Amino acid sequence: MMIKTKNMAATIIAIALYFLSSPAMAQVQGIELDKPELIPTFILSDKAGNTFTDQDLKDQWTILMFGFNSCPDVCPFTLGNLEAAIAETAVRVRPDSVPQVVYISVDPARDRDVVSDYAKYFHPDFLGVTGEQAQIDVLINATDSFYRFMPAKADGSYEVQHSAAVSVVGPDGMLRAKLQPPFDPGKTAEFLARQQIKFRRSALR
Amino acid sequence: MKRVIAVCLTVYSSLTFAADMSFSNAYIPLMPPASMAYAAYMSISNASEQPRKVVGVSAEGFAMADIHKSMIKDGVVSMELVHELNVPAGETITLVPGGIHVMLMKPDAAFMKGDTVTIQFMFADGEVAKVEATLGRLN
Repeated sequence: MMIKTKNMAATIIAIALYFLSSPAMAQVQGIELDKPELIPTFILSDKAGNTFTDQDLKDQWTILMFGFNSCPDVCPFTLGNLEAAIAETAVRVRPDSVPQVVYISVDPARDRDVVSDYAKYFHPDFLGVTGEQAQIDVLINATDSFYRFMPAKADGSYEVQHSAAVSVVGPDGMLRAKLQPPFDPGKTAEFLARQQIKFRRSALR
Repeated sequence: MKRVIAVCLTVYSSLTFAADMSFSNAYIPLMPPASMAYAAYMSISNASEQPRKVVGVSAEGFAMADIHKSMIKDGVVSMELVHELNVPAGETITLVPGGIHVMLMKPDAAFMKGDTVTIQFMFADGEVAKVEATLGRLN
């Protein structure tokens, strides 16, 4: 399942190159989209059947992360780091501006019944959802992300390659930025707080 | 004195059987309930003047174990099997999250913080080393 990159990638690369070429910005782990993109209609759900849709992106900041539960190394590390980053963000922004972290398993066949418990293990407020592959793909495409199931081994187990970056969605339901690992808590919080200030200023205009 | 020696022997045997190889800070992050895959991290030191090669790994309480390397290439996370893990002479290699790790699959039972898992490393020369890894929080 190869999901191809579009114009957004070129923009992100251009911005990334700009940041890399500027020593003062070399530490930036967040890449802001020059033009926010609306997340289209989608529907996913948690273990209990509670839905998570594009409407749930409204009026709050959201961080979308893709992964799969059988990922022993990078996914728990990312979720652990996001937990620390959210704690840091919480001391910088108003309580109602603390982003909702949503962990989306791209592997519903194995994870449908455990995805919510998995996310909550890292933070009680983290949401874990999955759904129909086509619905997952809507979000994958909208965030310029990627995943691919690898061939199963003899015992039937398989690995899933997936994007390392997480997506930052504003209270207007628009994808506004991507964050790259390793999600240093302080830098991530700083980036998110700046995104929020910028968003509020633009809303006032 | 006898007791001291006995304790030393116990500690020593719980760490390694392979001469000149030592393992430290071995830990396994606790994982959410029903997790089928865990990862173990540690430092592996080779005090000898010969390079050493790990060619196999197994762990008590897990149906399968492998050495894996996570990588991020073009923004995509993937893992590859490490068939041979080289520990150069006189050097220490460190297994850390997001890099090389011992992947432990299909646990027999759930784990609690403080539980230990014995991981066995097989070297190319036939020697075997055992290391006790402790279940704990990540980071």
